[in-house]
Amino acid sequence: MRAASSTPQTPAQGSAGQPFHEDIPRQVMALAAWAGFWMLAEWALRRRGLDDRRALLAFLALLAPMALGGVLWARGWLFRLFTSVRFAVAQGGFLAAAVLLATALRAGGLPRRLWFCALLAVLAAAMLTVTWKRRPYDLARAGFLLVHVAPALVLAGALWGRLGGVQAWGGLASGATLDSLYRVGEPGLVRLPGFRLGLERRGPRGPEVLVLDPEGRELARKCVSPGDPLRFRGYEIRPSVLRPDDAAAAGIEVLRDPGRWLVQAGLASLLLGCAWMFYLKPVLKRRRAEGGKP
Amino acid sequence: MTGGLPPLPPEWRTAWFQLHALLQFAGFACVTVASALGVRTLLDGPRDASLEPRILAWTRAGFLLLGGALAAGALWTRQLWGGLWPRRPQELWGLWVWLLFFVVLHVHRVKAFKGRTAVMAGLAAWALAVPAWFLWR
Repeated sequence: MRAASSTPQTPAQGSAGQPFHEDIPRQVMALAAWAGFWMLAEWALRRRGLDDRRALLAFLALLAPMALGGVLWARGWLFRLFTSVRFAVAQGGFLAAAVLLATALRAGGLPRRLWFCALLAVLAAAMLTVTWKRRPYDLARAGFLLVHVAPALVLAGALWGRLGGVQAWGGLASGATLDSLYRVGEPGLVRLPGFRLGLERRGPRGPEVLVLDPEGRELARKCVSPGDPLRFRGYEIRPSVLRPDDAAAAGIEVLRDPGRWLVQAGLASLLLGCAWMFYLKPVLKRRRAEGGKP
Repeated sequence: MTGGLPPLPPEWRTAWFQLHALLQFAGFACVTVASALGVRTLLDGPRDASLEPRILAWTRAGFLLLGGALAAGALWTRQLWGGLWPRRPQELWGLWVWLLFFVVLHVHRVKAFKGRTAVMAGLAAWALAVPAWFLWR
């Protein structure tokens, strides 16, 4: 192990004279300023009465010219910063601190906050830049590629799900039907496209939900429970955690998440890539060194 | 209830949940071994340079297993409640612990931090992760 004296610069002592992409304390301050800017932006957007979806659209509309400006006028600087391992340390530490603070303060809905999305956007952009820098890829290094594209996949899936998806709930009385539900986390109603929900009776494992067409013909029915929803035309219908149900009525949650496959692909890519980098890559490199083909 | 945790409803005990619990436990075991080796390295000083690759190997295994636990937990909550995204403090704690070891692995890659600083970072992450293990269950 190297002795401590052989490490000439630590984050605490090495700030003066270091370039920005090597200077963790200044990077952390910049990340704090970035998050602070988006907190202010979100506060301003909420004051104008924008709901979650519109605030997210405004976020993307603001972020796009920033990213374009960065690429046009500060490409080299951003490239050095985003491909710096120290910046990865700064980002991981800052995100961990932010998650800890949000958890301690019981600040719910962290993934919905624009400042958190902005930090994830920087992380995804940095990882994609690293992916670009390390090209081309052979089989041994495919794990690195999989790991570093994963955050972008997860973020893209999450944004797609939030912009194109639906999460809504409603109270359903036995014998009644429902074609509009309340959005979760934002004001307004969601109208179900071309079908309505009914409640037949409470089954042994939960409420039995009916899907009806506008004329009242039955299209589907299922006794739904938290882990076993009714799936219909891309919608999942399950008992809601927002309203306790009883024998005569039930709280029902409806979810449509078109980005979930991207999120799941991102998670799979991350785990497969880690396993590849840690365990398969050394084997492939050893085989190549011995003259065999990977 | 006289003590311990209340039992989960049967429909919650899915394969994703069992995988989540198993991976979480294995992940914590790996980072605990890495931390034990880290303590030994700090006590023995520069004589025990051979331990650092082993610390890194155990930390990597823990990171991978905790990542798997996080993914299995996300799929479990999605199956139950419909959202992939953390809504409750327990889920955010899981993400937090995983981010800590993300930092540790990258600290090991910075030349100036190799050795004592990287080992200390691993120990600090472990010391912060242990309360989470008891709090989030």
